[in-house]
Amino acid sequence: MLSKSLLVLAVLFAASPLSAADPEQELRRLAFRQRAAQAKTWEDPYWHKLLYYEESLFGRVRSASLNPKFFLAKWGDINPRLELEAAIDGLYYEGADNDSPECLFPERYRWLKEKLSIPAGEFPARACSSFENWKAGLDVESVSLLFAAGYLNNPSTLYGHTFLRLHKRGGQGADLLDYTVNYAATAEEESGLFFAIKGLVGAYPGQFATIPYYLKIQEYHNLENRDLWEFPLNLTPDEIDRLLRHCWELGKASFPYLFFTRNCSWQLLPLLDIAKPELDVSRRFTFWVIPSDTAKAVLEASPPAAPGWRPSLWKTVEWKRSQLNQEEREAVLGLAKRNQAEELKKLESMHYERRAAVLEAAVDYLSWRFYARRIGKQELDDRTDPLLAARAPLGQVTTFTGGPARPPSITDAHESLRLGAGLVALKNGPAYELRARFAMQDLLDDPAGYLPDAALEMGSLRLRYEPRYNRYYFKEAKLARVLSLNPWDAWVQRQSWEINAGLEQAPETGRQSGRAAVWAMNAGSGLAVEWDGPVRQLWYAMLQADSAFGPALEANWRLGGGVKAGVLLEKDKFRGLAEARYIGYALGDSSPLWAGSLGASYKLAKDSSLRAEYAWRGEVKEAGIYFHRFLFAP
Amino acid sequence: MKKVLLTAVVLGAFGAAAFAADYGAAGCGLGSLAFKKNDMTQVLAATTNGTFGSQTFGMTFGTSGCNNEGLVKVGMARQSFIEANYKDLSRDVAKGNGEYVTNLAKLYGYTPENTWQFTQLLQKNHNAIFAPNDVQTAVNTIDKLVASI
Repeated sequence: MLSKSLLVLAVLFAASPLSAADPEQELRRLAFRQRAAQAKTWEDPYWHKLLYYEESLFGRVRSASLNPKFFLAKWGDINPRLELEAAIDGLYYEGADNDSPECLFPERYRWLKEKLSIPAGEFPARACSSFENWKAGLDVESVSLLFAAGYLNNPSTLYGHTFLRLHKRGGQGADLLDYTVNYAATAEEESGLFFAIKGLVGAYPGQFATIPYYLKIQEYHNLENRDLWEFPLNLTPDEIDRLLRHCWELGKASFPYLFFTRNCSWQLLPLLDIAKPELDVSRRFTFWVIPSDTAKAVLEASPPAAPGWRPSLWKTVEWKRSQLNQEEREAVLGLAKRNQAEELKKLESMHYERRAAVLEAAVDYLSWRFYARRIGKQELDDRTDPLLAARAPLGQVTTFTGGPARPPSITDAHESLRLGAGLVALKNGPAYELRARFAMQDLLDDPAGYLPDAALEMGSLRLRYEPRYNRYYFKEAKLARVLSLNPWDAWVQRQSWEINAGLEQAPETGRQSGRAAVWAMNAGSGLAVEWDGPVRQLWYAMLQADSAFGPALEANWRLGGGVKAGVLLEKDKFRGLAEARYIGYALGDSSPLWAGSLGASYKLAKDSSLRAEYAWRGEVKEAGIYFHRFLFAP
Repeated sequence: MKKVLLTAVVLGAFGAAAFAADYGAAGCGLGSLAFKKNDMTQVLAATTNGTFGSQTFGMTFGTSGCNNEGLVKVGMARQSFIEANYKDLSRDVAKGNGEYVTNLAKLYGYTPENTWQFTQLLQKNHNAIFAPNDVQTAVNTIDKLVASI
């Protein structure tokens, strides 16, 4: 592979400028160059889009692509003009058609020929068999945007993922056989902090790939247990052709993969902008990019269409379980966990239709247990094979009807950025507060479209002004908080957990308001129990480890552990949260922390809510009311 | 003693949270790559033989199941499908319906009208196809069954 592409490169460079075959042609070549020079064709925005040229603050132009194969000219990555002239010369390439610049970069040449009004008969048509075979293999009829919902129990998938699905012509009923266009960072096997840092600074190049849809389903639906949403993009045949031509070019590109800005989700946007220039979505993001936001941006710019939904593996298991009675559920657990041969014998007394249902549910449950790492491959095989062997002879039986209940999609979700303002009553008078949070939800925000029973907060700021001291200070400046409450389920048996890091005020130290900032980090795990009454209740309790650093503390730090417990209440637009924690400190400042809060929120509209909070921390108490507004990320 | 207990709680809680969070890193969220790969991604890699993950279109790789353009070779489509979806396929064949078996029917040239024949044929022979737990056996047996009608 390497040698071949090197050869192509060598040919391109050595023959550059590629000379024409005879003087007549040479004059034509120079004429095209002149035509381009007169019109300054290289300044055309589309040329800049196709080559990912970006302008720096100092006006220097540079392509985002790191891969030299993406350019024809030696300095093509920093000079749009040289690249365009090399493209003109490339028209006279004399090697094999498949290696010709025209076949390597079909969309660039489609545009260039149109822009320079090169007559169709000027050059004999290139036979790009490689590209044409690829295109024919995909045989795309339509394109949709796929969104894999976030999944909290895997930190790298907190925010979800987006990719494109290329629907094969006449592929109805054979969804799995389609391909996807996926952008991801490519990295060698490595781990640890070094790995994370390298990722953050873009040391791993991101590349596009066409991956069979069934593998993406394995990955998201099975392995990571996430819902997959599918939003049709309604591209016309011309737009699809443009998309494919440019995808082919992107096979030679690689970009620095940056988690917050140039991530998997953003890199799809320039591609969509090229396919459908009216979308113009790539410019909507400047500072950070959240996959659900990119999906929203694309959907806003597309005609409305009903999304498709593929429930996660667990949702499928849960739905099947809901159609089993108590005895049948016990049987499933028996087949999955106890002496299977005995349990299979017991099943014989069951009506064959119900037996089929139990067997199917048990197989799915075992599959979930495997993907959730509860059992290994050997146990999966040992336990599912006899079940399937017992199920097959029962023949065609209707076992389960309907399907899992569809949750609200991201199009129903509040925007990701939250701003707020509030009035706070302190013991010594009022304070005013401004809030900003970059992403995404806490327990009191409406979770529609996001994960339920979870908090995922990044960059949460609470700026206070206290007139009594004429003082501004951060009540809180949180870097990150992730909380995943998993209602206890006998089949899942998953713990709840939380991690937290950021600046906060520790008034329990006895300092004046605004003079007690500490850097606090904590983590906890525990259990949650759900009670689905007229008001849904989710009770939870956790063991928590807590640490803090700051001059407000004696010895400047403390480290300890304790308990935290609370209850979340939900009823239509109302949500309530009561929480208390007690932490004892073994090291550093050893005075214990006793703190808690009561909060209630009322959803006014999709993107606004009212909130009331009462909180205590040591002896210091406060109450406040706040207005929250959700906005699309800048 | 109190300090020891507290320290134990601290370590325990951190440990548990770390464990709960350490699920692995397939996929590409904001933070993809930041966490080490775990057994499950290796399972996925094993399932797919690593043949597709690194395939980039327009490049000339030459891995077993893939053509030069990064798509599954036409002649390998059935085998690749069966290999990558072995467990799901086995389940769908046993219950006699489901998308894995209908998609495979399409790869064997069945139409939506006669897919039921394929489905029933496989269901009746589930044991012969899947009991050996071997991809190649499954492929050969299905090929033979389809040819026998």
